[in-house]
Amino acid sequence: MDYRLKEGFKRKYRKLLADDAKRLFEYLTTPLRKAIRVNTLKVENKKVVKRLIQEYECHLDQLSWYEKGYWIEKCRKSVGNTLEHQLGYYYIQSAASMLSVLALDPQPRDKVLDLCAAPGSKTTQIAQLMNNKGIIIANDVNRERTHVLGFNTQKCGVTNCVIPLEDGRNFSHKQEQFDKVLVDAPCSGTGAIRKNPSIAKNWSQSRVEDVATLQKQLLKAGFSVLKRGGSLVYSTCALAPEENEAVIHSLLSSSKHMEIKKIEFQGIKTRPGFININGTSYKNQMRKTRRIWPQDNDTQGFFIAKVEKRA
Amino acid sequence: MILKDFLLQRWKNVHSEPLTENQVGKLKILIRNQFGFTGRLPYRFFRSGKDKIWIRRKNSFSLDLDEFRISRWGIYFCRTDFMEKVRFSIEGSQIVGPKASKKILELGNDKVKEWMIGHDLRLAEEQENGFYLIRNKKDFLGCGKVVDNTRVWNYIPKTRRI
Repeated sequence: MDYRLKEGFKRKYRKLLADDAKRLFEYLTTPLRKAIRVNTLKVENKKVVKRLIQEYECHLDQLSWYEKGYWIEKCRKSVGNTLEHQLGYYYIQSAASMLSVLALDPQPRDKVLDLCAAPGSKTTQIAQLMNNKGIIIANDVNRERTHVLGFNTQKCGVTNCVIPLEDGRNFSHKQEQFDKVLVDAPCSGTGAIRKNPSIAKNWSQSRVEDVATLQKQLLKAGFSVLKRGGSLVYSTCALAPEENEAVIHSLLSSSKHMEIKKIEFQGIKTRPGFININGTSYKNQMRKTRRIWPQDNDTQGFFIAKVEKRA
Repeated sequence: MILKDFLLQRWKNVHSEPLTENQVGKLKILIRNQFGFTGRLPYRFFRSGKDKIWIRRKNSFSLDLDEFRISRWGIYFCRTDFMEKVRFSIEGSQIVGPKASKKILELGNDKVKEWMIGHDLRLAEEQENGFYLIRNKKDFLGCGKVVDNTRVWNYIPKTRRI
């Protein structure tokens, strides 16, 4: 696979990370380890683990930050083509992306909006944490992608999920009705280069800036339907501050009801969000947002922010 | 009706025609009689098309999603004519199977792969014709239809085959 990073990309991250940039580039240019999440809506953790070891001689290693997630390797058969996968007993999901839902902390009686839900990794994880109770509105703008989302919610046995096909920005016309909102926004995907090297090939600063505009609109729409006292998680698999801290900052500047909440993860190294980038300063509370850098845990890159709408 | 309203109406109808109490009762009796199912089905039931039944979690939430196009709600549970036959989806079989006591075809390990590839099966012993839950140990693998007392038609969707 061709993992070559563009010079403009390297320049940007050298400026941002100084000496650590070299390690970032090393990790971004090696394939991502596979991970799965056991679907406890259908089956117990240990049963799936036992079967994967016995039937396919897989090596499994539980994630240190989530007991239902496992690193998986060396299986005799592709993990996407086993009987257990087709029966919905586990879901192939990037290890770092499981953190967004843990930060959201959905509860069984919650009314949850997943604004950009397809293909459904996080939606099905939310349903699992809610034990198929409460309700999830799992929206996506793309018809084909909602079909994939529907396929995955079916396979995981998710019965508490409605799938609208809407532009997420249209939600801003709706009532403040959700206890929890997840805005896992479309992004340039630079944190996922290890999974999809074509992202490196197609990277450009103008794309980053274009998608940041959309991200700000989606975050604003998601926040507008959040109940007072409710919490919203904004996440991307992008590394660029324009798609992360700057997006949070735009909402923070325009909403007096918003407050960034501290997120604590166990078993994974995270770093605080940037508060000063290229001469732009953000409020100190931006340090409460979390960055998961590929070189820190051998995962993909991720950004997670949790905000609350004050009563 | 202008085109936009017409399209919205069509979208709203997706999986959203609720079964009447009478129909739900009939369906539950059918499942009990056909498969000896003794459990509870705490869902709301909906129909799309002529015979496709969907289930949703029961809850008391009000949702402001008017004017939104709903692509899907809940999961596909089974097909039924409400008269004599019920054929479960894989998920339907996983919900009903553990508490069913009859019309269950047990597959040996050697047949599971063949079934999940999507092949029809030949039975070693004759069985009564009709729909059966397909099981391997504790796994329920959807429904099959026994025809000519010796063959099992496979209904595993292409997207779920191995």
